Amino acid sequence: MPAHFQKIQTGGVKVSDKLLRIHIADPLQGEKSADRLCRILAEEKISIVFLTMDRTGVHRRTSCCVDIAHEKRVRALIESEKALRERACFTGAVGLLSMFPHQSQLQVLGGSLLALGEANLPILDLSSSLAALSFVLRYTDLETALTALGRFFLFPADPVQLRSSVHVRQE
Amino acid sequence: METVAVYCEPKLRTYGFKKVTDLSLLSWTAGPNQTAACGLMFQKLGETGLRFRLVVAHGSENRGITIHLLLDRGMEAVAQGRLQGIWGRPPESDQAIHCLSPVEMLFFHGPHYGDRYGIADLVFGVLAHESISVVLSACSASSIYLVLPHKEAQHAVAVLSEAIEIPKEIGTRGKDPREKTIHDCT
Repeated sequence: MPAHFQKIQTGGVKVSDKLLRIHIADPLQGEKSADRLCRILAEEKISIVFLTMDRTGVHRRTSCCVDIAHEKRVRALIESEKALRERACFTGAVGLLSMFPHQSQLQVLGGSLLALGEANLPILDLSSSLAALSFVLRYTDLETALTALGRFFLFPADPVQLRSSVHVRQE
Repeated sequence: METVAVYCEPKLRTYGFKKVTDLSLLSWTAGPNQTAACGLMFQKLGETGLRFRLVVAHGSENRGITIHLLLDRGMEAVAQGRLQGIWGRPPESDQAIHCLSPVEMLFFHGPHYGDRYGIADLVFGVLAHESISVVLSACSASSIYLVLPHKEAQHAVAVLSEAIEIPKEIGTRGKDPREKTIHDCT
């Protein structure tokens, strides 16, 4: 880190509860099992907390995170369908670390990748949203990630902001 | 504390629905333990004042990372040139920077999307039914971003409007009231 480096002030950071990550690699042509996964999760009334999809090479890759409380049911659903069973893999427990605001600034993106990379923490997924940069990390890495990000960013002192105490569930 | 919510919407409610055209998608894969190098690269690029529209990344089992950076097309040459200069991988390398341009983007937000089931299924189901291919997408917090091939965004708006609430006049370059300094480089 250069001597003149100044930490970037952020509005805050939040971490999620434990999540299950489901990763699917579909061939570009043919049946898209990721669409099927979205359908069965909807039918089972399971919320998708985070989802990204990209096309790389010959695959369409989808990563999706759901509350780990649903792990047994989700694994059973995927196991029951051949296409999903063959293309899906699981990572759990993972957590979502969201830092805001990014204001579309590459310095914020760069600083966060630098911090997590120097701490040797694998980033499973990353996405920007309107205000936040959200990282999917191994749940056991979340505390280390916060410490690592603290080398580059200033967070508000209020610890209440770290974890949300209100959960919304749709009926 | 848990709040149980019931949503009674004939169509999925949205706010801040936007269509943006003339975008470029830069993508590359960094090898194991090169995440910090990518971070430095973004910091250097950021010194030019350039901003991103969307970033999505996937990690791989070997600790590599594939990064997709969506920018305004007017910034494509500057960004690609600078990234190439810093990253330094030859075009034939499997870590070379690839550019898909032009592409278009739809994005919108809605109440508690991240806590509700069926949102992704609704959106992707409608697009798949009309054979609209999605290049890149992200559903995070209350936001949904869809990167689409050139000239597909308007078609997507038309088919999505059957299922979700879309204002008759949707924003393009204008700012979402919740956006602060986003997209000021256009």
